[in-house]
Amino acid sequence: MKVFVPRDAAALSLGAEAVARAISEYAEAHNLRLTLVRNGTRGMTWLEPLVEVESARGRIAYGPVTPAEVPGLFAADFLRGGPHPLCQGLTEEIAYFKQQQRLTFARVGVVDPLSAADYVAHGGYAGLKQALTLTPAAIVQAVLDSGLRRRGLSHRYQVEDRAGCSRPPEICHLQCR
Amino acid sequence: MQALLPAQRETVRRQLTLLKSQPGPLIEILHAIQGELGFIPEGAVPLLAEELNLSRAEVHGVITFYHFFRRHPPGRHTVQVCRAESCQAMGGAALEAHAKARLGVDFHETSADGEVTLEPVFCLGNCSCSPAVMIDGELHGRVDAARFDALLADLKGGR
Repeated sequence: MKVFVPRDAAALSLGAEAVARAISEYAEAHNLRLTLVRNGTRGMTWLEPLVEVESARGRIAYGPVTPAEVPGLFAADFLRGGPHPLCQGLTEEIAYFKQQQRLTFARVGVVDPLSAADYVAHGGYAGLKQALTLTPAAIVQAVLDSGLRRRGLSHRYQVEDRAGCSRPPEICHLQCR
Repeated sequence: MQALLPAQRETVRRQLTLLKSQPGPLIEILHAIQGELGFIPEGAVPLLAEELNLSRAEVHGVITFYHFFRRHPPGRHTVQVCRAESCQAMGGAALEAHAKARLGVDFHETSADGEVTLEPVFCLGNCSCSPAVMIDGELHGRVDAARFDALLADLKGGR
């Protein structure tokens, strides 16, 4: 059983540490086995500290949770998504969250940021794995073909191969201009 | 001007040695001194000026321009109340008035029992949980008068 309690600055400023401690202590005292994951905030800070539990339908959210609410949550069987006044339903069905298209923040709050297995399960190292099957020249070409850009103040710049890396290079310098 | 105590002189000299060769080192050195001593003693000014080839006026100017730098020892605890836009919009001014009344001090002052120094701060980056307060480096969000009092009580409880 996985329980998520965020550990980002905003959640901590609202007492997430004390909530995480209360959950751990309650579980220990009642011989309940659970894995506490310290994720990032889902961004709905008015619900922080937002405690989530895994279910077959997705994560179920409870918030804002105070340490004093923790025994009541266990009594309501929140570990199995039991009804409670703080229950917000499925996290990803909350209107504010549902209407977002998350890009940069797509995995924030979803993964355990300290877990390499979580990283791999969400596409981590896929590019590296593929690169290991390619020749150096193909890797250079893939970067050029990707249209990779850096952003400047008012312009976008495309990567280009200034030195003309046509030979299989040991080291190739690509420049962002 | 009060002379530096031997331990203070040692701190200033050590930080100068550590950081002097960096470009524009004055602010870094001031941060390091305040980090160790809690404030920048007046007697550090001539020493810093001489070692960094600045005038005393320049060193004094930097210390007094940045309100973060203190010229007097703080209380045992430091309470910083955010005065930036988001917090002001969410009742920060009332919180500020409450904090001052509760502690019996104005900003940059220390309560009579030497426990708490009150300081203003501009943006703790916790805008979505305004108003924000930082106590001894720990961030707190959605702080109203009651929560402020509870946090103070935690401090006095010898946390």
